[in-house]
Amino acid sequence: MNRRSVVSRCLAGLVLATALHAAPVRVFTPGELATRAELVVVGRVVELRAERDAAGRPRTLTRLAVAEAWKGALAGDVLTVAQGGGVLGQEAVESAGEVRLAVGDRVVAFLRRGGAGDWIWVARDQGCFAVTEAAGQPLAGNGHWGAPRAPQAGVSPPHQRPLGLGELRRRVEEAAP
Amino acid sequence: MSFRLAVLLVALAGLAREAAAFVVPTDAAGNRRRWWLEPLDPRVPTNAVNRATRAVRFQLSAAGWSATNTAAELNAVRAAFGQWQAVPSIRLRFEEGAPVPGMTDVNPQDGTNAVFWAKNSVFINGGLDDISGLPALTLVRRFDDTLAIAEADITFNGVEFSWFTDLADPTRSRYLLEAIALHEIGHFLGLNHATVGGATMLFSGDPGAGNAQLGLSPDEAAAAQSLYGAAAAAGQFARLRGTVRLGGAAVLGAVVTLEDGAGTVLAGTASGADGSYDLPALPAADHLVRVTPLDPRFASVTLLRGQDLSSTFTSANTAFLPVTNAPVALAAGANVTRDFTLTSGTPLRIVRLLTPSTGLGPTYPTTFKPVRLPADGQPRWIGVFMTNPPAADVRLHVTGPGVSLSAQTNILNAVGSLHLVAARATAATGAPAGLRSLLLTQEGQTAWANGYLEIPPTAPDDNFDGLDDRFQRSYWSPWTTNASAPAADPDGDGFINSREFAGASNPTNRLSATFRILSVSVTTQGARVAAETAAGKPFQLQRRDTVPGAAWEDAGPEIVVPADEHEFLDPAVTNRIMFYRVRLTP
Repeated sequence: MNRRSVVSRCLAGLVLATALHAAPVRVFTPGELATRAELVVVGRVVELRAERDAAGRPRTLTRLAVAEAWKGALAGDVLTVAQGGGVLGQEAVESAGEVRLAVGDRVVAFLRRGGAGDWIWVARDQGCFAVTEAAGQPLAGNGHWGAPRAPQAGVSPPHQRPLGLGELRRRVEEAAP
Repeated sequence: MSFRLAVLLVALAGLAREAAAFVVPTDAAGNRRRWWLEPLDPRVPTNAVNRATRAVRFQLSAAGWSATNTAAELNAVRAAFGQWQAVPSIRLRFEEGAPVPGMTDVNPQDGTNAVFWAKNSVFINGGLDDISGLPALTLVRRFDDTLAIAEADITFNGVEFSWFTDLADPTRSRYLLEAIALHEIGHFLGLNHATVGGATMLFSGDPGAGNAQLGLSPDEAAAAQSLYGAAAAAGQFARLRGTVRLGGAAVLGAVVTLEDGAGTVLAGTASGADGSYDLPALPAADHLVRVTPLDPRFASVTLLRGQDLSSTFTSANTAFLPVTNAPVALAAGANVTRDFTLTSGTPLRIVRLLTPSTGLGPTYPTTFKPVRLPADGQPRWIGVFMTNPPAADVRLHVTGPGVSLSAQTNILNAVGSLHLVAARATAATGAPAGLRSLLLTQEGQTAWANGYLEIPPTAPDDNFDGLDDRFQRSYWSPWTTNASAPAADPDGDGFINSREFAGASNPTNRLSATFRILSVSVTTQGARVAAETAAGKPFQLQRRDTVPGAAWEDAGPEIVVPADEHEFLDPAVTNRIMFYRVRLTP
């Protein structure tokens, strides 16, 4: 890495650090997400289901057909991710940072066992990366990390640079071998 | 692409648009997400809204967050509810149920509006949600047909975040509970994140005390007045609405901002998918309205993006030029329509602000949150960052009177490839307080940071009662309690709080009030002493000899006075003037 690149990265990091220091929401790096996760998989949404848990809480279950496991072992090739809230009957439970998916979506899922033993998203929407294609290259991103196309002029904080699927995998495996 | 990943508050099925003032989910029939109190939605649980009083009930976790500051933590949340309830001309009332000992979780289906501190685990809501990274989360349950809220629960993350309650604490590493609670209660009442920089409902704010988000902005006041306004007050407000179009097509996510004659932002919203916007509950006067773009979804550095408002605006159209400051006359009760036709283009953008400081450089701290400029006549450097190189004619401006800018300095690549346009700004003593806007002009283009510069008031009044909050905070906790009202007299000394404030006496100590002696005249019949009193209260006149060290002694009997001034007689003093005072007797 040449000196200019180092300086640019440092300055870009300064912008990010400033933002993260003062922002109420703590944005985790992919490595931090991987450390928190028990399971990191790449999969496609095959079913969405809304139901109530034993205490009557609405919850949304997302069934993922898993193509790859980057961290953790999976018994089968399908798993179910639970999340509080959703649309059920004539009511909805809404909150900031919910993960919303549609059948067919391809995602990288950072998962951990929740309080009731279900797989849940790590840090809500921070733990779900959309996988998209740009110029034939798979990119991963969500509202916090990764941009699906080249950034515009100006500083590109690391979290808003395009994040290739391979790069995300490398970061996951580095943090959680 | 079928993927739709929500970043913030989701727009669920049935929400056709989200374009009311401030930002609140709205359906095709015009229903907005709110508590339906008049008439009451009968489906709302009885423990969520009091059937008799229509007060929205809440219950606090009795344990609070800490072991040593619990009472102050509970009172900080109460004060936040109190500020929302204090917005003028609304009928919204809160009612607190008994604090709940042993609260271990929230359940948006249990019929109770709970305020909870997660302290042992970041898993909440039956273990279904991991709130890692989030200081707080509000779950709102609503009905599909009217968007009426049925129940809401607030959770503060006490596992990963530290909380404090004292505004005098300069720390910035912990979170000011009252400020975050104020924001979460906005969600509790139905709101999404705001477009106005200094609004409490902005998606992001400083964690510590002294941030611009502490205290409700005019935008939140308009929200409360619109969603929960008293019927009798409806005629005092005006309404501005219309559509925003570009090339004949509706524009999603165009920010519509209303500003008063003092350059202060009053309200803001973003147009919905059908291009409509709606700014209700506006003060009647001549105003200015403008339309500006949000930052692009994937821009590398941004101030405010669509997804920062809610997922509804993730795909906001940001490729148009601002329409700046069209005058609009709003009379009381008027319903004014103003449509906008936009011009496509790549707008000039302000992507960060410079954190104000007395010196400029060598480093340039950036922020995407609102900044403050006290009206104290002291110069401070303010500035904005842009991605375009500044042109020769680039100029930084601040809306409204009382703020002067000088020594503008443009610094290329001040932070990475961000360029800084800074100026020495001075807010004169007496400059009108409020949320001003920063704007940048260059080569015929204008970029806006709407409401991102706050001129703080000299006397904060976040509960809208005309009494300095600092006085109320020093004597009451929660400081919004009924006992702190300007006309209240909690110590029963006949001095209402506003008078105690003016006289610098203690409103909770009936012996602290100073009743001035108005005149003393001595005759052979005795000394006549006229003094301030309080009608109907018992007073004792006391005298002391002018000899140094003399003690106070009663002069005559205790008297229940008939008026706020009374003339006492001291028959024992017939030849010279003594020291006198009157005391309210315990």
